[in-house]
Amino acid sequence: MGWMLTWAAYGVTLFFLWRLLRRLLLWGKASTPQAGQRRFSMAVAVMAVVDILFLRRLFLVNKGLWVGEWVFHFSFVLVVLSHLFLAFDPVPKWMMYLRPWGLVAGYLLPFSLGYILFYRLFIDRGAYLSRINLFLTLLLLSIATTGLLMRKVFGVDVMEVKEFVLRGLACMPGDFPESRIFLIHFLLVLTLVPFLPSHIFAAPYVVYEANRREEERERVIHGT
Amino acid sequence: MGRKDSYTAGLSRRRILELDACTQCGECLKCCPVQDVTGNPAISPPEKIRMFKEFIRSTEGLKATLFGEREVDRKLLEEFTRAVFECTTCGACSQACTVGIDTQRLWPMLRKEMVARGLGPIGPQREMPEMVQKTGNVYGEEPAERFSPWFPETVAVADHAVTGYYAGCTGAYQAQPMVRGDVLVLQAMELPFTMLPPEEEVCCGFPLFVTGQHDLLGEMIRRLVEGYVNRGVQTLVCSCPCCVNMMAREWPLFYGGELPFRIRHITQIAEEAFRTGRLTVRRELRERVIYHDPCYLSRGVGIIREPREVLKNIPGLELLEFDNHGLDSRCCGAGGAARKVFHENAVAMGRLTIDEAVAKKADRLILSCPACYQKVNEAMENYEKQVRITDIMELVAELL
Repeated sequence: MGWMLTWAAYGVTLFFLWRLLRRLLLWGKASTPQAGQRRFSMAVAVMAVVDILFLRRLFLVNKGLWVGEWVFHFSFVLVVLSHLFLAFDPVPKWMMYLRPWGLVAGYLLPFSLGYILFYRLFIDRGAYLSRINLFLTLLLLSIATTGLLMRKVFGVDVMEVKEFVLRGLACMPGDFPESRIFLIHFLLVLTLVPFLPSHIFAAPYVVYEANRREEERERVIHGT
Repeated sequence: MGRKDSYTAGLSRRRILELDACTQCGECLKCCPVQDVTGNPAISPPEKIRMFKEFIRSTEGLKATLFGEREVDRKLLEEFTRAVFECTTCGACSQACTVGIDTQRLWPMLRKEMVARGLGPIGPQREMPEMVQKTGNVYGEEPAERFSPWFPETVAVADHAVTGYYAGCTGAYQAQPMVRGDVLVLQAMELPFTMLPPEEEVCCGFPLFVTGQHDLLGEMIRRLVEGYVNRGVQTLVCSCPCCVNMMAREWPLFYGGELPFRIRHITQIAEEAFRTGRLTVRRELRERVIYHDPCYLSRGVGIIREPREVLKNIPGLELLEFDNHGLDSRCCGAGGAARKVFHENAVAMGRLTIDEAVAKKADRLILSCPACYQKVNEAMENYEKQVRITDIMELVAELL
């Protein structure tokens, strides 16, 4: 089973990279001229980074949802980064410093997702709820919950997991850890990867463009 | 059946990335004025993006690559075409967008894709290019009659001046008190200005741009720019927010470079004149007036403060605000070239504007857009609620 699951992971990763490459090619080959071409602006880039880090635009339109979304995004990134220790031997010091924060984020993650789901379904009643977003939220909630269950209830041999990951990265598929909860967790993650939304990659550029557009508008119309 | 070619070949990189950046969060839906009057989520902003992305997937997605392109069902294309043309392009969705998608530009580009497939535009919009070629305006009105019915005899137009005035088609033919007010105010400022002759002051291109019919735009815009350059114009003042948008944001692309003059809305010129003492209103107006921010003036080009400063210079006036004002202003229904095709929607939206003005006990509703002026006046016909409607410069000119 370890061999099969490792190859499944390779397949999913390759699919994800291929999908990303196709997206980059589609964006890259677009040659239709566009209005308002200006030089890169550091001030605009800084504003865009602030926009992205703090989800400023969502904060302005829906503060209730913003709370859940910001905690989710922030804790998701921390959890992913803290999982990196599985892929390194020896583990770099900065990863070890990050681990405790990743563990805290592991608690915040399912609660933030549950909050988002509750908010969208019961508080923000007039909202548009896309099927793909609902699917992703439930999938992420399942991944976060199984992760928490692994840690607090069922336990898993972390060294076995690390061995499996390191062997997979070295293209030497090894035995899968004997843990049903880890199997479920792993399969859920493999399901998530192909469905990772394209907005993760496109949104930073669009946010930058929105800030640039606002600055350009001021220059053209108000002469500032 | 639809064409099997690419749905992205005609889009710029920015537009393609915007389609991919949509998180489908639905925050835009809550402020869509078309949703307010139709309650139809099938024509909502996230649905339009989702549908168009399906078209892209069918011709450039994974399945298309592995198994060959699939033709998109024509019924779906027709549904999408109707959805994208029913939009007023007010930009409220862009303002609410959590990633900052520029929908005031995205929808016209998607409309252009549908026009290229022979699916759009809709109804009378199809006649616009021919009208513009024959008469210089989308209304089919006589070019010679562009200025004569409303232009005051007492106002002089210079052959050459650093300030140019562009009346615009909707102002000149459908909102004449507005443009008359503009030139009277320009005269009162003692600001020499020039204009193109009526046969040369043709459409700025906005109706053609917003309906996805771009073929004539390059030539039209170059002729207009050269006309103003030949008259020594360094600042071109417009009456209509749609013209200001078109000129400030799209003309450079069609012209092929930065414009040789700057674009300003009449309220900006008036505000500066009030501030520097070149303009004074002598007569009082003891009324409660409510100002409506046109979508293309507020969200389009960020002109929000200046009209209010102009109104504050009128002695005795009490200025009221709509609950949603400035960047959050609600569309009055006139935009996107949709008002003639989706007339019921436009009237319904216009009546919501009237309702709020009446509810706030305004004596007068102040507008600063000729399309809004025409449509809200039309919405008030045979309506139980009535409010006096005046254009901002029409009001200033009356009180000078």
